[in-house]
Amino acid sequence: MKLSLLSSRFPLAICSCELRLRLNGIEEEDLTYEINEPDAYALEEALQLKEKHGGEVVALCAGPARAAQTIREALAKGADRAIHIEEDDLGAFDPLAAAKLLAAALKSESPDLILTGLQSDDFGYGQTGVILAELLRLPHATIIMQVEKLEGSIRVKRELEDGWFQQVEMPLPALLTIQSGISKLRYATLMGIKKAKSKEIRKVSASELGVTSANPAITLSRVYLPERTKQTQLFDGSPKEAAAKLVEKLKFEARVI
Amino acid sequence: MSILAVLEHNGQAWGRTAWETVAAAQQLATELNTTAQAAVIRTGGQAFAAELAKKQLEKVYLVDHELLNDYTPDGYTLALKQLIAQAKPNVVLFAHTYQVRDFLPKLATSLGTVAVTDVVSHRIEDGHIVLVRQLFQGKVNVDVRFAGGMPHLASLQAGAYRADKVADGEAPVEAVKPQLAESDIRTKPLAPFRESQRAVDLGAAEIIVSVGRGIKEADNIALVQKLADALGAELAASRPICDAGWLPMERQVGSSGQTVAPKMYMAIGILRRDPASRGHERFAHHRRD
Repeated sequence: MKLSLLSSRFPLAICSCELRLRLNGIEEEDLTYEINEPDAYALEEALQLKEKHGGEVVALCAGPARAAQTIREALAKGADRAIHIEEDDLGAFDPLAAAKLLAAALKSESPDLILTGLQSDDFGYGQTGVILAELLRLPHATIIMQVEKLEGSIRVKRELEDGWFQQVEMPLPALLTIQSGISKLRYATLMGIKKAKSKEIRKVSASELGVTSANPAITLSRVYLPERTKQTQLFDGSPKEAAAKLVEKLKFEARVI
Repeated sequence: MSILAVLEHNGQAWGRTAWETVAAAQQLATELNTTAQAAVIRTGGQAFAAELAKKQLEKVYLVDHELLNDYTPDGYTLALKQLIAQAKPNVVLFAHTYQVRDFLPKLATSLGTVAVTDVVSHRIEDGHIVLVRQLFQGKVNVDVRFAGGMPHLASLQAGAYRADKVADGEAPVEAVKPQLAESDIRTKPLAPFRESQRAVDLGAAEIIVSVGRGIKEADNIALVQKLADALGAELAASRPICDAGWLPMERQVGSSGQTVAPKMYMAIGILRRDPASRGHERFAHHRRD
């Protein structure tokens, strides 16, 4: 009985907008907030799957109060409802603790399919989705280009290295991390923005979820600009003269051609 | 008490950055006054293990099981968990490949820890390892330390360590057969395939001419192709170019594509803040030492 209820929820998208801040050297004010680009593709894939197979798309986002902007954008694009894990200091959570937040928030949801972006634009851990799958004991696949729904299972197209691809089949429920750039992202319509205002946003806090940032497995200490050993040289003159000078340098100084 | 390098091969050839991982393990072992070990996972890795047996390693583990013939995150995680329980390494190193990205966070979670991924360098401070990784698409560096218990897991960015620094020696090979059942493996991988006709190996290219959206029109690619031909270079591109279908995906470099380590990287119409420029930065890093 419970199964039929859950299948109506296929699929579920996660916007795990990893707004991890408060690092020495980077001021919060310097950062702009928008849907983490890889997560935007996960949302788009979820919306397309819903259009094909029906179901409900739930957007999940962990971040400070101002992440509500991101959530409204997801709702305006077509997500049915959202869960906002409101946490000001996500930067204190290591990737495991951050994924525990998401896992705890999803406990009452039991989605059929969880989609996440490949990585965050900022910290680029690229780990949240896979960690979440293990915490929820779900099968997973990463760098997914296509999702095909079968009977009680899915077949996905995975990107491998050097232009290779692979199909992988797995039972539902499952978790996928979606490759960026696989589709054209939709814009929110005026109607969508209007509708979003009446959609449900459930707010939970880390303490309500029983997850703390204490005892991290890894700690970030110093943040700094990488040392640059490279030089920039500009060549004057006509394109022909400049090209000749460049070739000269590449041949006899850099000795690469 | 050792540094364990887990190496990738596809049955025919080593993973491109496998030897860099061995070099890193040897370097860390020397600096921390301990020993380096290496492991290969997959069916039929005897020849690969035999090659490792000629390197300066304390031991080579040949992890072999018929359920490890095709890579699956479930199979590799379970096999490595058992190997780690047996070998008890302090540190386990991986190359930051697509495959490692697929299972390493799962392995770390199953061990109750967090892996430090895509490491570009390290240093030792008071006997502790400090790993350096990049944030905000390579714009800033951050120092990362392990705060939890052993083992400490890390994956290394291509080009971060020098494969030609691997030291020769002699090592015994130990076969390990993990406990695995078919029901443990939930995903079913089908045979890999290639979409484009010609195989391009940007990783092995000495000279790369890379093109970005500054090129404006698909027709202008021919111009850059001419330059690449004149230089004997491989043509590469940033993500938007491949997304637009102007060049096939296998020619994509940058933070979401291949990492390359050519002798020369020429960027045409690629913004410095574009992720594809990371190909260049990695290459600069690689060449510095």
